[in-house]
Amino acid sequence: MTRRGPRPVNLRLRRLLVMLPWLQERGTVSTAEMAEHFGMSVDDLMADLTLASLCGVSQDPRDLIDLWVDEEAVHFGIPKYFNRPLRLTAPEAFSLVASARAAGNLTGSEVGGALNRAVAKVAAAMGIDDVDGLVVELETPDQVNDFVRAAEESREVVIVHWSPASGESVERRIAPVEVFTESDHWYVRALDLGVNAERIFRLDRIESHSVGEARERVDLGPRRPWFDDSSETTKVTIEMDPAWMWVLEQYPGVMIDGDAKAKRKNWVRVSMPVTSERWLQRVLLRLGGNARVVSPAAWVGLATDTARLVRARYETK
Amino acid sequence: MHQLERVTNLLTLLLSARRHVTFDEIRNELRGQYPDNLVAARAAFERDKSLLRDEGIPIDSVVLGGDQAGMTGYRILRSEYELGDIDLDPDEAAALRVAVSTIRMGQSWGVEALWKVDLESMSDRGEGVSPVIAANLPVDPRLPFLHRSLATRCVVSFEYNGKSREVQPYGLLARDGWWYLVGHERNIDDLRTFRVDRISGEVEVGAGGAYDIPADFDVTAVFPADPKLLPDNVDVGADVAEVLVDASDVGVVLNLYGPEAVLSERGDGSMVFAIPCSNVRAFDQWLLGFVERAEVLAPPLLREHVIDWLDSMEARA
Repeated sequence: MTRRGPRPVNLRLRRLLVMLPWLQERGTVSTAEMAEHFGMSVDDLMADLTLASLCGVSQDPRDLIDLWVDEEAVHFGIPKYFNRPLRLTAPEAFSLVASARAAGNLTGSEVGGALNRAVAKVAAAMGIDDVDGLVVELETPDQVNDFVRAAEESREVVIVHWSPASGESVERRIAPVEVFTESDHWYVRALDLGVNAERIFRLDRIESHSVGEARERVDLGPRRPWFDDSSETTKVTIEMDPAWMWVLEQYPGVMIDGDAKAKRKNWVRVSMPVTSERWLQRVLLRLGGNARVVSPAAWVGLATDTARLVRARYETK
Repeated sequence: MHQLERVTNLLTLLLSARRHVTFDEIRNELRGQYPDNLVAARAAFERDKSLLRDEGIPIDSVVLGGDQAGMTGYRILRSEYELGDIDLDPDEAAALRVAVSTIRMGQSWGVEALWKVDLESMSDRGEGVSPVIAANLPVDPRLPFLHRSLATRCVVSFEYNGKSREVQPYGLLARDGWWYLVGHERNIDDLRTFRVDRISGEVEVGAGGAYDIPADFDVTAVFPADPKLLPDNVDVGADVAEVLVDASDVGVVLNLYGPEAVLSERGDGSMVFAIPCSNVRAFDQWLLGFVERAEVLAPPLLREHVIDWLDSMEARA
């Protein structure tokens, strides 16, 4: 059995300072409802509120925060101290403005106006008269809407997907569950109905698609981190010039091993999950002579072989 | 006594104080809550104060006169502490909730901000439905402070590429999975763009209202969307390359550049495209992603540059 450590005091205080005015607004709330709203367990909620009910400028009961908790509900009495929430912190204000700016790219004009009004009100409350200096660009390809609608309506979609590994385009039947963007690419997460397994497809590699009939809803659970399934990846270790680390910034799961010493002076040892030989070829070409594979042994010569393969194209002209 | 209880009591005391109160007065009011030993009590008080300030609570401190001359007094002004009434309409609150649940930054800042600005409604978290569209935005702990500095016109100082910079922030832009700060760098008296994750260490923030942003400034127009259009220090004698792409891979290039980029089509289905190459390094990274299925035809200097790159990989073997 794993045992959870104590919750940090700062987080408990932060939560209390927003819960108390929220509770004051309502008077009486069920503990289950309140715990759910604030994303905590009923036990943690009861512990924090019970402690808050013992706080005030003195231990005179008339000075204590006026709330009490019974088995089912929390009750708030006379407001004394925390009538309004603490002003937004810099991270909170940034997060709201950035989320609204980003979502404005995605959600269409029907909520765009409301979002803009909401951000203007938040900014005014913060004493900020300009939020236009923060811009989030999320280019949304045309296909995004089709896949979002297919996911919302549980429709299957037939796609023609181009694989960079094989260079071939293959037709697949999928049931989309989520469309998301990360690091400059859009992806659709779906159940691949041909193999009955979860797959993620990069949208710019889907050459064509057609939305079909509605089917039963697919639940794939939350998205897992990239390369979470180690059975589908190979751990590759390379040594490289740290000045070229920027090439690897776009790839998830890259780790610098600070303890391991590279053979070449001033180089570093880096490990990364690799999904296919073709994928590693692309990375090695981009790194050029600034990196070498250390393991696995089968790929130690891959950079040279790949350089020769590409170089051969330039021989005949 | 638990620190949360003591710090909550301290907060209620400072919020209720009608004048600045000294450490001795605080210790007297919160009798028995700080250690008897003066040094230990002072250390505990400093920890509490620091915790409150880290949570964004504005503790005002002044050096007192009169019979308390030289002592420091503390209080929290309610007007500085409390978030003003934002008064979101239901559609505005709903739009913000959608934005926060759609845009993921790997932090709880957005949800915590929503709890504060939208006291009236219950959140949607209990309904158990995740939005089918999501965007992951990268986040950097310095972004909120750069954002606040931008909004309140504070000059910021930081280290970048080994040099100290003093910058008047003009805009923050999220593009292609990275955040950029664009601003007027004071010592070179010119506009500069900084990738936020490459700023070293902390950002120091100066006083507010220190500068104006030119009325015609547009952060999105400062640098081109396609990195291959950014000039760099490799001159290949042309800004556009002719690239032959095999039939297997033309679809992905057509998706990206459209049919207007096609210069010619060959009998085997391969195509010659016109691709920007002002930034040769960015061009290399794009081209080499095709491994052996694409080839630079012109300009000759760029073709030679690619051949040199491949030869250097073989030479390092």
